[in-house]
Amino acid sequence: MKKSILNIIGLISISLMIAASAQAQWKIDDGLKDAKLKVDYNEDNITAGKAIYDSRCKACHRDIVTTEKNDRALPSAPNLGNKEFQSTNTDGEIFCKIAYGNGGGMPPFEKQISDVDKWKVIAYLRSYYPAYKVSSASAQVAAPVNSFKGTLNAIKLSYDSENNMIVAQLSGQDGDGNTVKPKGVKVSIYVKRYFGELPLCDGEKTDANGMLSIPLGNLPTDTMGFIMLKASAANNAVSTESKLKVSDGYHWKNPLDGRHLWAVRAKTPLWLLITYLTVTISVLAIIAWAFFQLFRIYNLRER
Amino acid sequence: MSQEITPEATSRRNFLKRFGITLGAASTVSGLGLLSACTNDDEMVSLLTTDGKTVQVPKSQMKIDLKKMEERGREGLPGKKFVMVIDLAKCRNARKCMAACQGAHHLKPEQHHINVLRMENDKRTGFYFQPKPCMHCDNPPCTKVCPVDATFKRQDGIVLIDNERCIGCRFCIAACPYSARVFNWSEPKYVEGDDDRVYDIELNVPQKKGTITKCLFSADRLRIGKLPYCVSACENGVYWFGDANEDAVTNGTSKETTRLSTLLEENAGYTLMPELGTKPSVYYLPPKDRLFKYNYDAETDDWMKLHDKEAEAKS
Amino acid sequence: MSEIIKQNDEKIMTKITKDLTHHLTTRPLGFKLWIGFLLTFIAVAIWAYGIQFEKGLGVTGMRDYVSWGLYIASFVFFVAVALVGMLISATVGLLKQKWIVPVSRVAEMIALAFVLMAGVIIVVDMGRPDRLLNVFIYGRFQSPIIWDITVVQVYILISFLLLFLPMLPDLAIIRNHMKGDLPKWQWKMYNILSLGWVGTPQQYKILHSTVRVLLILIVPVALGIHTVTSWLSAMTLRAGWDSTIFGPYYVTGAFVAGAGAVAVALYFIRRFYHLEEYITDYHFDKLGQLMVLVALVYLYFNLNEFWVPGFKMKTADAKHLHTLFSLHGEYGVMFYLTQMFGLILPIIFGLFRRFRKPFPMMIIGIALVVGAWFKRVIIIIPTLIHAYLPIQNVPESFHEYDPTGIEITITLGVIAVAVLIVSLLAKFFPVIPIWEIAEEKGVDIERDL
Repeated sequence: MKKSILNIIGLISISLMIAASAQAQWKIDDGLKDAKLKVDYNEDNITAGKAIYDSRCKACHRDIVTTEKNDRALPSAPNLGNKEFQSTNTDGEIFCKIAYGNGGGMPPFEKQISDVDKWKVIAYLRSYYPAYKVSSASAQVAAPVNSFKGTLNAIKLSYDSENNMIVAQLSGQDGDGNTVKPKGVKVSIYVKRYFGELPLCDGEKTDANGMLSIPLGNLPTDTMGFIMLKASAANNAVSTESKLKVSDGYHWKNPLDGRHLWAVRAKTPLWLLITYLTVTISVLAIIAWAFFQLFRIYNLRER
Repeated sequence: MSQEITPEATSRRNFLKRFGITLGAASTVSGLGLLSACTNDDEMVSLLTTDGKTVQVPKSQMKIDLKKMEERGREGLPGKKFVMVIDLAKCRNARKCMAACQGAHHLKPEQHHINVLRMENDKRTGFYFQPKPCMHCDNPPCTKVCPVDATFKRQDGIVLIDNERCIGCRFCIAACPYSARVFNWSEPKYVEGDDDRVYDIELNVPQKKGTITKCLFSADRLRIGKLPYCVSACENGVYWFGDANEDAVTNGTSKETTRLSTLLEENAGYTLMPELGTKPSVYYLPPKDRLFKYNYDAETDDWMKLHDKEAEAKS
Repeated sequence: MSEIIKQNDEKIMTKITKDLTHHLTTRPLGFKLWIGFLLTFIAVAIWAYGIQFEKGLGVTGMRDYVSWGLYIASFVFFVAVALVGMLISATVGLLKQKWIVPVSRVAEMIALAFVLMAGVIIVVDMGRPDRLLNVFIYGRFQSPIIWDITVVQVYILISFLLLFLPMLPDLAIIRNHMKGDLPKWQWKMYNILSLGWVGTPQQYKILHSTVRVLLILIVPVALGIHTVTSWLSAMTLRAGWDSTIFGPYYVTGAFVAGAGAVAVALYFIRRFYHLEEYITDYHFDKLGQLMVLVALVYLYFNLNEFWVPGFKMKTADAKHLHTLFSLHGEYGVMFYLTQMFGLILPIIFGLFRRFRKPFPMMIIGIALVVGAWFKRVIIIIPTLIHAYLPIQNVPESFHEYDPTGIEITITLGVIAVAVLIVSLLAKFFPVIPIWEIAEEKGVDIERDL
C-alpha cells in the first residue's frame, strides 16, 4: 500500500514537473545569443567557476560527468557534462539560461551571481566538454591538469605540529626512472567525519618539493586526538588513508552527567529530591499518626 | 540439530548482541530446545561472524531482544552531539522529507514528525517555507514534565520516546512550544509485518495506540552512520546534518560535508524562539537570496487534500 | 439538681438525635428515583468509556493541537470544588467561626467525593490506562504530574480522616439509640464504623487533638494540591498559561466553586431532610458573605490575569485575549457568560441580604458551580488552539475543538458519580454533627450519649 502511494505521488510530481518544464520558457537575449566566453578560459577561472558551481549549482545539478546524453530523468536537474547540452548551447545561451532560469525548475540567478562569476561557471562547465573550442586568440587553452610529467609513486600524510599543518608528500619518478619530487600536482585531502568527508583542500598544487601543506586550524579531533584523513593526487593516481595524532585529545563530558530538571529520575536535582521526600514523608507520617489515633480510640472502647 | 558451544558460536552471540539480538537459550546448551528448532520448514538465516565466517542459524532461535533495544536506545551514541541545519533559502515545499518520514515511521498523513510550514512573519515580509522537525532541545521542556521517563534526552543529544512506557498523558504535547509532538489517537496505521515487529525505540515502530510519537533525528539510521530519512530524501539541498563535536555537517542532497561553524557563521544561522530558553539543536539559515518564485496554490499544495486523493485513487 | 440537669440533657439529646438521624431510617421514593437516575446515567457513561478504551482517545474531539479537552478541564474543576473541605473546615473552623458547625461535614463529604473523581477522570484521560502502574514504578520527581498525584492522594487521606474522625461520636449515638429503627445491615455498619466509641474524656482528647492537627495540615496540603494543578498549565511556555500568578488564581477560584457547591448541597439536604431548625437563614447568610468575600478575591486575580497581558498585547497573548474577549473569538460568548453568571452577578446579588437566603443562595450556587466548570474549559482549551507556530498540513478539525457525544457522556458520568457519592454519604450518615450541636446546646456530652 505504501508502495502504490509513493508511486502515485511520484507520478503526480513527475507530471507536474514535466508540465512545468514543458512550459519551460528559456529567455535568450538577442545580444548574447552568439556570445563567446567573456573571461579568459584558464586554470584560475575554471577553478573559481568550480567553487561557485559547488556552492550554488551542485545541490540540484550534482556532479558533472562527461556523457553523451543527459543521464538524469526529470524532475532531476540535468547533468551539465552531457555532450548534447554542451554542443547545442553557445556560451551566451548558457549565460542567459543561468541568468533568467526557465520559470520552472531552474531559477534565475540574474542578481544572485555576478556576470563575471556566471562566465567563470561557464568556463568550468566547458572544462568537461572535450570538443570545446575557445574563440578568443588571447584565451589560453585550459592547461593540462598536471604540469608534472612522470609517474607518481606514493602520497604520504604527516602532521607538522609546530605549524599545525597537515603535510602531503608526493614521491615519484620521471620518465627515466630517476626519483623526483613531483611539482605542481593537484592534491585533494579529506578529513573523515561521521556522515561524510570534509575537504581540507581540493585540487591544490604541490610545491617544488612535491609537498603540500594545509593549515589544520581548530578542526576537532576524536577524544584521543586523532583524525582520519584521506588524500589523493592527480585524479586518484595515488591515494592514501592515514590516522594522524594532531592533539592531546580532550575529555568528552557526557551532557547527562549533571543533575537537571529535564534529566531522568536518577539524575533529579538533589534539592528537589530532598524537598519532595522530606515533605511527602513528613505529611504521610502525620497521616499515619492520625490513623494510629483511630487505633488508640478503638483500644479505649471499654469504659 | 544440536548447537555446540564453540568459539564460533560465542563470537556469533557477541556479534548479534551488538544488534540487540540474543539467541534463544537452546543455542547455548546442546540438546535442549530441539523441538522448536527441528521443524523441517524452519527458515535458516545467514549471519556473518566477526571473524568473517558465515553461519546458518534457525530463524526460530533468534529473538530480537526488546530489553536490549531499549537499553542501547536510551544510552545513545557516546561522544556525539547531533545537530541539523536547515537552509530556508533552498526549501521550495517539495515535502519529500515529510513523505519519507511518514513512510519510515508508519505514520498517517496528518501525523507529522517533520512539518513544512509556510511562514509569514509580517504582511510586508513575504512568505517562506520552514521545515520544522523536533528541535531536540538541550533544555527540553518535554522531558521535564514526563511523569514516567517515557521521553528522555540521551547522551548524543537526541530526545527519544519509549512507547513501551508512555502512558499517554500528553503533558509533553502541552509543554512543547514548537508543536513538534503528535499523538496516536486511535489504532495506528498498519503496515505489513507490524504484528511481528519487535518495538524499536530508535525508530518508534510499530506505533502504538494511545502513545506519543515525534521526530527522532532517525536515531536508527544514525547508529549505522546514515543520514536521517528526511535529510536523505530532500532534493533541494535544504538539510545539513552532522555531529557538532566534529564541527561537520553533511548535506543530504549533494552529500557535501562542510564545517558547521563556517556554515552558521557565514550565513548568520539562528534557532527558533531562542528567548524561550529551550536551546534547540536545529539551526536555520535565513531565507535570503531565495531563488524560487513561490506560486503557492492553496488548492493543489494542500497536504491533506493530496493524501485524501491518494487514498481515493487507491480505493 | 444534677438529676434535673441530666433529664434536661437527655431530652435535648433525644430531640437532636431524632432530628438529625431521621433521614437514616427513611426510604422515600424520591431518593430511590434519584439514585436510580444517577446509576442509569453512570452505566451509560461506563459503556461510553468502554468504547473509548477500545478505540482510543480518537473518539473524543481532542487532536494534536487541542490535546487536552473536557477531561482535563473537569479534572481542574474537581480539584477546585474539592478544596471546599479546606475552606470550610480549616480556614473558617480554625478561625473559630461557630456557624460552620452544621456546614463542615457536608463540605468534607463534597471534598472527598470530588477529589476521588479527580483521580478517576485523570485515568479516563490517559491514552494508556493499562500502564497506570508505570506512574508508581517509574515516577519522576521532576514532573508536576507526580507532585499532583502525591498531593491528591494525601488530600484524599486527610479528607477521609476529617470526615470520619469527627463522625465517631455520632456513629456511637446511632449505635446506642437506634438499633430498633434501622435495618440490621445498616446498624451493623454504624456499629463497626463507630470503633467502639464510648466517649471517655481520653477519647475526646485524642479526637480533638487529632482533628486539630489535621485541620492545620490540610491548609498547606490543599493550597498545594491546587497550586500544583495550576502548574500543569503554568509550567509550560504557552500564552495564557505562562503566568506567575496561576497558583493563587486557581486557589481563589477553587474557593468560589466550593462555596457554590456547598450552598447547593446544603439547600437540598436541608429541604429533603427537614433540617430547617439546624441550617437556618443565618447559615446561608454567613455562607453568602463568605462567598462574596472569596469571589471578590477571585475577581481581583481575574483582573490581573487579563488586564496585565491586555495592556502589553504581546503577539501570542493578543491572540489568546482575542479568543476570549471578542464576541467573534471562538470562546468569546462562553467567556462573557461564564464571567457574568459565574462571578460578577453572584457578587452583586450576594451583597444584598435578600439574596443570602436559602433558595436564592441555591440558585447562585448552581450558577457558581456551572460557571466554574465552564471557566476551567476557558482556561484549558483556548490556549491550546493558539500555539506559537501555525497549524498546517492537518485536517480542518485540528484547528478547533468539538467535544464528541462520548466525551461529554463520560464527563457527565464522572460528575454523576461524584454527586452519587455525596448523595449516599448524606443519606446514610448524619450530615450535621450531632455531638457538636449537642455541645452547643449545653449538653454535657462526656457524661451522656
